[in-house]
Amino acid sequence: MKRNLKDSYKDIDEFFISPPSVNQRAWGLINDFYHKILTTMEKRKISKSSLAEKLGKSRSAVSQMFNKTPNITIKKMVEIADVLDQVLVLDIRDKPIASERVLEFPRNPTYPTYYVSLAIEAPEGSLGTETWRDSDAEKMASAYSPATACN
Amino acid sequence: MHKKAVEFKKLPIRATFGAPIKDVYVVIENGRSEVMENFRALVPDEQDLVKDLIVKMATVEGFLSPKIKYHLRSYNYGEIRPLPHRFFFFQKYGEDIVFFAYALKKKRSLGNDFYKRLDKERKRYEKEFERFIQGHR
Repeated sequence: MKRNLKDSYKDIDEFFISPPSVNQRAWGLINDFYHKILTTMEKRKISKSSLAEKLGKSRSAVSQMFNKTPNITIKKMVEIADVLDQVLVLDIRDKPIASERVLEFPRNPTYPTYYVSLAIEAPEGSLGTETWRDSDAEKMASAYSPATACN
Repeated sequence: MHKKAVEFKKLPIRATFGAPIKDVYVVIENGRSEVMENFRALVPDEQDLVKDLIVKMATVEGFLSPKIKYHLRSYNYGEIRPLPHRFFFFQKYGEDIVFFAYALKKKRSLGNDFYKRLDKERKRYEKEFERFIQGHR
């Protein structure tokens, strides 16, 4: 009986190991955007209140945007990046060829394909002159883009 | 034969940004998992969101999201919160994430009693997890 119950979670295993759907890749872009924004805010010690002030919005409006909006608009993403002296870069590219995938991910040669990426970089001459990347995006940079953000 | 009441099931994390840097487990107690059963009950869109968050937690160092709180108040556990759902987890040994509880949170707060009760469960599962890991590493 116990074995049967455990077996009944196989669908969840399969769901987790399956390549991400279009919907999950879309969530991936949104989640990556917030990860980069929050990391930038943390590095620069910018609070949500301060971000709200820069955006000309209330603290609760920003919290609402961060916590409740499932599909943030590109316009809002650009606005947020802009007040943090960052630029939003949207890129569409060909799917990587199989040999590249194996080279980049030897432990998982069937990793999902990436064909839309999103990056946030500091514009030239801005206060944050160094292009921001998280450590994992750094690993991807040599093969793909400054920050491949779609999975 | 005595059956173990608490077990830990490792979720298969597919590499996205490279190899996973953390293992993700789910508590199974008496053959059932509150977390997985409630995960299964989510609508597909919510499942996709939670899957992406969990995969990122496992593969991206210091992953931050407004939908993840790594430490709740003074408690040693955190939550993934695709509103109105809450999936609670604790971290052990810096590289393992263990999901152990679920709650549907429709109101602003679940109340102190709830969090205290959850913390007791967390302590119990942590002890079990230590034993589990010692037997598997």
